[in-house]
Amino acid sequence: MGERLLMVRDLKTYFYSDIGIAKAVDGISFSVAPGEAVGIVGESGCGKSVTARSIMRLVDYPGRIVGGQILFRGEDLLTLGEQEMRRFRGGHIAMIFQDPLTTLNPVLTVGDQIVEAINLHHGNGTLRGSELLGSLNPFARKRMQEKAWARAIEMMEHVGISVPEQRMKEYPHQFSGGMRQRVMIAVALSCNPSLLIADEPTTALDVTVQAQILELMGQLRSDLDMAIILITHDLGVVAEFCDRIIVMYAGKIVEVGTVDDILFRPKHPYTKGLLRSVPKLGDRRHRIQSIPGVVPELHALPTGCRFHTRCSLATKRCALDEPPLTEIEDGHEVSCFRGTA
Amino acid sequence: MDRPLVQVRDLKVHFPMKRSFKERLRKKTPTMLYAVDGVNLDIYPGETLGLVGESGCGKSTLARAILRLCEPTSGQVLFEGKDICQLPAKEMRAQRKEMQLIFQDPYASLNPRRTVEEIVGLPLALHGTPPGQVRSRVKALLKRVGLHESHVDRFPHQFSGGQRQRIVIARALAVKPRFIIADEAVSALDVSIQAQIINLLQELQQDFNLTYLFITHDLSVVSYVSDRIAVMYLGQIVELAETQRLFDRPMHPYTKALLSAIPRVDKRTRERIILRGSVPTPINPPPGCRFYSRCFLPQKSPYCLIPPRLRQVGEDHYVACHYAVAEPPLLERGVG
Amino acid sequence: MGKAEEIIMAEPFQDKVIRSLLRMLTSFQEFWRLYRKNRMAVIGGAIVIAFVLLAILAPYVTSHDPETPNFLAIRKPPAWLSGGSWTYPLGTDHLGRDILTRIIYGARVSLLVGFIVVCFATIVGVILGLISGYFGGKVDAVIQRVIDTLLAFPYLILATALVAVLGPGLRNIIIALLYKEWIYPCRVVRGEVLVAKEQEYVEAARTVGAGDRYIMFKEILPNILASTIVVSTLRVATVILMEASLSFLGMGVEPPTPAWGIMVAEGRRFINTEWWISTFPGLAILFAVLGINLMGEGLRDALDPKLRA
Repeated sequence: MGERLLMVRDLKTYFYSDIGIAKAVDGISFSVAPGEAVGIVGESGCGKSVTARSIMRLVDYPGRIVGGQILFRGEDLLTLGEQEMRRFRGGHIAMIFQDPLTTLNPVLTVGDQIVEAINLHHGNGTLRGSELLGSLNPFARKRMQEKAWARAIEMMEHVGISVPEQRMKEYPHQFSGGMRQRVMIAVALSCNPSLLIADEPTTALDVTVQAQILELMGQLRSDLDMAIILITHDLGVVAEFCDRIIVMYAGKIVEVGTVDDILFRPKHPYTKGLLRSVPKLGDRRHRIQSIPGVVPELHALPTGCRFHTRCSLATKRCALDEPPLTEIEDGHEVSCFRGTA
Repeated sequence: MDRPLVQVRDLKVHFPMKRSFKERLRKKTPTMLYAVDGVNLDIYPGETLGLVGESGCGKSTLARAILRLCEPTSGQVLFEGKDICQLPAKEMRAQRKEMQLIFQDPYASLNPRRTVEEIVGLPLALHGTPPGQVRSRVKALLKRVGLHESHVDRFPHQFSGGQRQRIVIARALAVKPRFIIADEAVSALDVSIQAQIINLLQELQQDFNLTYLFITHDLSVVSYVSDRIAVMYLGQIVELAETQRLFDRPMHPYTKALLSAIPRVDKRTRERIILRGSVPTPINPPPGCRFYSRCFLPQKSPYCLIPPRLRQVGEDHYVACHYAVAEPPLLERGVG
Repeated sequence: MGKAEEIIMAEPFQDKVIRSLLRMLTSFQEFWRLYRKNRMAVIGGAIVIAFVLLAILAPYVTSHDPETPNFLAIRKPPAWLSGGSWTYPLGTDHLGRDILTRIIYGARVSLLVGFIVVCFATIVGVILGLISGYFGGKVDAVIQRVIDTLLAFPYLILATALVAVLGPGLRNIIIALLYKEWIYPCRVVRGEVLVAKEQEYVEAARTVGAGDRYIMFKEILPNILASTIVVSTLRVATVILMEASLSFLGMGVEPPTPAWGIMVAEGRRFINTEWWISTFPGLAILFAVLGINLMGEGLRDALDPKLRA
């Protein structure tokens, strides 16, 4: 399938605490092609956010990446030093979060924060070498600052904020939720990243605003030819936005496929259950079928297939062996012994 | 049709905004926040009325005003014809037995320092269950909502979100209410757990003949549980219709935009109405039609400055828009 | 409290006792597990317990009399200096009294004043703080203005003035300190109540028909108790310091009753030659205050429900 932008191989991120080791992400592998939109879905605690943070190498204590490889254009991010990693963060890979209010600094104006992001990475090549040296020269510095300011205004316009010159001077609390998320996107995109990781970017927003933001992200994606990893619990959002979907459960990938594969030809019992649990619009004749039981605790996972305790198809083998992720059709992978049934 | 169980008559809840010291010195009248501004609703026994709207539209304030957890500025709330806004405190406490609230956040609505028995047992004791029977009644209630009897001595932090919501439901059920307001009761839960709780609420409705006011921002959930749906925008109800009808023939432009904005698993390629701008604040709502600033109708005109009233446009279908026609065309159906 | 609220507290007696005992045991285990993690807090706790035990068991720990002068052994140095003996491990003062004995008996005064003042102050402060925070409005305004007024007076000067009016003595010191001490728990409780009363569980209790008093004492109070305990513990240290200061100024208990403040004051004249007379009581004050502070910090971590599993 051609050149891969990002390849994650056997990634393991564990959290160490008094009560044991929580295997938040336990050996997952997937890849993202340039310009592709991949959705990672799953319920809370399935490890989707930890996966995103692992790619950015932003896992907080007591969590640790204990194994695997994260290849970005063939370079393993896990072997990089912190200094080199900072070049990737924001420069090549950007991330936006669920709650833009807590990720924006309340005491700095919005414009300052975008400019700061641009200066940190010198606009990905627009300011390089000589200009970097020139930063010691006050005049060159001023020029650079002006350049960054102009670029910030351009970014604000790009994400659909009207009167950017004026709004640049405002503080985050003066923006509405949707507008703040636009600012976050502007900050993230200011350095032309080739991969954007969006962790529940619209969960805190209202539906009409969510529609605006998704439309914006879709537009930017085609304009900038940027790959997007969209992490969400909302199957509707991935259905509309993504090319491929990764379904996670308790730290493992249970199914990968195109949007049509996952939504119309799901093979894994968990994916099927998840789809059945979503109330369909305007359909109230039958009971929604829910998945019985609850997600297992990450530090006390069941043996074998992690889903077997809640699965109606489980056999003895499911409780003993872990099913590997196997390709059943082109690009459609399932980790279930009975998945092909 | 039966007599409504709950009638809301021209209910208004306005909050004064904080004034600065300077403003207070000058005796400036405080700016008002029009959280709920003239709402009329009838809720019939045994039905589920869905109430949808975006954050800040006043749906939670409406719920609290109906339960008299905050005092309305004007208007009436009639429970079986009795105006509860006029009840003295003592009678109001007895009246609370009839109406209960299920909260959104099952983490905040359970006191972390009290056991399940104390939490669920409180309403029982307050409304006259003999002390010897409280524990066994609590156990019975826990069983009814799908928890185990042995959970009775545990503390809330020992439960998952879904289980906590079951405890909240058990507490609401303890007083045998007839009317329950579910304020975003499943919004904080994961999809699979959400389905479990919705099913539980529906079972309980049948078993105990409950009437629900189901408040949510999630249109798929509300369409699934409700008989009728009211759409709220900036403190006012803009459309009220029978569920299927609302989804088939939405008439208010806001409803149309809302419906088209929902991301859907089953129907991906379709015309989308994307609203421009964000919700105006309820502090200084625009005069006339509140949706005017974001309205995309080509017909919109200065007539919209005359506030549109909720008027009937079809059987059990009310819209507050001057340009709603009597029999709207059937939209392409969402679900095949 | 209403009739119904009383019922919930009176149910099958034996069951309830056994269950609450069990619950106390498990919550104590949980508490200890968290408390133990903080090594400094364990040390602080040990210091405090040592002082308490010494104060209670004073007559069994030492055979000297703390008050009677012994003119045959005036200003003896501590045992490890030349001229010292193990009969008087920390030496003797200008009236020949054993310093160690006086420190141990002095702990009685300090701890007694500390605990009594803080206990009463906490009870008063919690009740007023609950009322102030819960009802707000005029009641709140009145209580808060009283507190502001009291805050305007320096603690020590206010207490000194009061003792001067009331006359010295243990009882009067306690009254003088209580006069201002209650405002500290009161302000903490009020702040916590303001947060707690907005919680949904309070609204939930109201929707099922609970009254104000029930909500204040059964729903809100248990949630703010932890921080109250921590603050009160830390206040004990301050009160002990205040008592020592008052005694030092001669406004405290009357000599010959041993109190740390008096001992420091008495030894002051000999500080150049017989330094031990005021140094050791000073160290006692230091250790007591340090121990209590360390313990308070440990309590803060261990009682925080957010840190609990």
